[in-house]
Amino acid sequence: MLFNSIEFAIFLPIIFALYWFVDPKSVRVQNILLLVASYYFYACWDWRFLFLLVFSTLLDYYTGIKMHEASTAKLKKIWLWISIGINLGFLGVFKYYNFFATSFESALSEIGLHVNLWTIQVILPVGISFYTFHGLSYVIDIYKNKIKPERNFIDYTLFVSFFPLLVAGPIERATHLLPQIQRERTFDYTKAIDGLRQILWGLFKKIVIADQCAIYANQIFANSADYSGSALLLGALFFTFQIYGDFSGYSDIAIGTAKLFGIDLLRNFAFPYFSRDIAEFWRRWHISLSSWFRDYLYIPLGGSKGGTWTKVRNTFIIFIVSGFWHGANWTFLVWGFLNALYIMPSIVLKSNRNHLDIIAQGKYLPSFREFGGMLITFLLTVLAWIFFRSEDLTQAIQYISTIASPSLFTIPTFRPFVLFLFLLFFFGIEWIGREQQFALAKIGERWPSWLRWIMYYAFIIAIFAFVGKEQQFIYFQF
Amino acid sequence: MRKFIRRVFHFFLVAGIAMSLLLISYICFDPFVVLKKIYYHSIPIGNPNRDYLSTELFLKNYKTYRFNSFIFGSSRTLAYRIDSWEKYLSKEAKPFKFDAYGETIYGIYTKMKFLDKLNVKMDNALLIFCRNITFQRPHNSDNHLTIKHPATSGESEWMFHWAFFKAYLNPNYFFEFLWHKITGKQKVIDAEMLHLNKMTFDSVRNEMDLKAKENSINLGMNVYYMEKKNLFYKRKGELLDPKSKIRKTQLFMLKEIKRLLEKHNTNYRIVISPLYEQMKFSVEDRRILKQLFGDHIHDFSGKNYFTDDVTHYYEASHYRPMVGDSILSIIYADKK
Repeated sequence: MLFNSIEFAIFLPIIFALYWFVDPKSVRVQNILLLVASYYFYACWDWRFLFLLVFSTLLDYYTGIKMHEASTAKLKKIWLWISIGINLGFLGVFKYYNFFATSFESALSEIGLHVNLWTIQVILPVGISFYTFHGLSYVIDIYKNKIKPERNFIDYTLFVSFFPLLVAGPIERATHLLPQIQRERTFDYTKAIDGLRQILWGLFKKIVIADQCAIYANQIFANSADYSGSALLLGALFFTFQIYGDFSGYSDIAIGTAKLFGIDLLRNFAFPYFSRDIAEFWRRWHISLSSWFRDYLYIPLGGSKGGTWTKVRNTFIIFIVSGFWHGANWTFLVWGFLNALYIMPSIVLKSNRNHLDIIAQGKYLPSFREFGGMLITFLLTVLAWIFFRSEDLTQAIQYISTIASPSLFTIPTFRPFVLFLFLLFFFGIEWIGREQQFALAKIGERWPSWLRWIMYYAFIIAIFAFVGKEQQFIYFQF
Repeated sequence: MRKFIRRVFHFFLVAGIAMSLLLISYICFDPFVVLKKIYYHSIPIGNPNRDYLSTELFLKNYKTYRFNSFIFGSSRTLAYRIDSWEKYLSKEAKPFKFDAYGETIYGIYTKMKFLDKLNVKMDNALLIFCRNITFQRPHNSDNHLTIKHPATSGESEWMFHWAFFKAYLNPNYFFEFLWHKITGKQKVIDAEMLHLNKMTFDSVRNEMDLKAKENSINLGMNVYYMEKKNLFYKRKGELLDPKSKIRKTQLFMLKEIKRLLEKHNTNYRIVISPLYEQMKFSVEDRRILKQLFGDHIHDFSGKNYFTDDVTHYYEASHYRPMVGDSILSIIYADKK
């Protein structure tokens, strides 16, 4: 069931009504209801993978308790590694086995040895990367005595499988979400209205921006050998907007939906294309994953403690692992590696925490320097996205070589003016709302309600005008 | 909570009233004629969905007329007249033109599957493939002009009707339609390709006939091509399509088509259209088609006798029945 589907438009109000009307005073009833809804939501993708989700939940629930009860540090460590091993084992089998098998075969064939390793024909269980990381953060936090294990199985299961975040995050932390699941939730009018507004903005980003950019990006990337440098540059730009609209749109819908149930999820995007350097970009892009890697990989590896060499090594490790998390393809690894390279000057020069504030805060326009930084960061990101989107490294390299050829200065075959106008409008709104949690949060707040409603109707009309066949969200494949 | 429900209710009430009015007007006017069972081949604004019309006519007539011979393809099947085709078929042949706008391999495959499911015999078949459209989209479209009838696609009726309602809501269409309803006038589109309102229509065998257009060309050929010269772009001679269009899904559909044709022991021919563009079908695609269908494939793409002469075309997209007649005589040479 996609967020941008008719099924979800029916499912959500039903669950909302049951949640607030059946027994609003009982957290237990509310949690059971959300749990059933979440399992139904997940089963709509493929009910067979429910078993995997249940197994992963049981594993972390049980190992969490066992770690807490362990009499020795060694035993505690053993339980931790059992959980990490099995969790990553599943991820490895479903997501990476074929990649390693085929890469190994190719490597051997290079030296004249021909082996035929079997590959598995199975689709990737939707959301596996997200709920595995969810579970891992829980057991690691218990191991580090940051939290105590959750004994209430329903509460724990809901923490893992709460439907708005189940298939593509934000990747939650037990310290943030579990207390909200445990305590009584009363209806908050402001939060619910804010949630609806965020859902509306998310749908606009997904259907009007991402899906329309996808039409051109897909066509250009699928036939990249046929197009001029200018068309390919346009294709890369379209993909840049597509992936942002798609994933941040998904996150907005997820966060907005959770707000309707009185639950706050972690922020996932904070206007990343307005970043002044790559370090800032990574504090603003897929925040829940970046902070996960920071807390559970970068810091345990030594983080910023130690010399520059340690920081450089750790940065490369987390970016390459992050690339690999996205998928078993060399293109993702190169994408991660490129981002590590981009961020390196600021790591070495210790300027990676220069821009902790919001660009042009309290002003209409950025300074010339800020604009320059923003433009360079954006272009570097576009270049990295080419690797991310390409089928393989050969295509990515050819793609970039064509962009770097004289054909860059020809008029591109694609000139979708309506889409250009929408993109301009979209970035205008994003710029105006950049100091808020999401762009539409405060826009029109002081307007008369009829005028604000006209604005919302305009968004709804645009969504209806562009809605086609439901388009999968890009991050579901990860 | 009450405040929230009241607020949301009011918001959606205003939107709901506006939407309901639009929906009621859509149901009453049925601008694309997909709600009432009326078989229009032309509609006041825009074009009807040919796939829907073909399928509806088939469903209406197949039990009475027992069709067993089919022409599949896009609007370019106009060039293949049923009367001309019948000359090469046995006396028992009962032809039906099962065409659709921008027909794709998906459309042909699903139509054949649909016929097979209804136990309709396919004794004869003529399949018209075009370089620029047949293999472009191996799935259904969500455009109201090209979306497939749910009976053949097996997809949701809601999505099918949603495509038309969405097209109705398109401001360009909506205001033009409203203008037409108020004034009774239609915007004259000079460059309109087929002039559907000037066609005659066989509502049993689903054949469109451009007799009026043919007559006007024959009466003053020079005048016609002078007037329409803006519809013919300048060509660059023969070009070779560098890119294979037949991918995994298209190949699967082609194999299924072959299986169905063999199952029905169909006497069939596949024509690769002589398009004005003069671009030759890709080498790889020709190899695949030849490998699958052998001598049943007849390739007229590229620069040749048919494509060289501008007077073989109504405009840059559609070739004339005289071309279709000649092609039929070539591909059925063994039947003469």
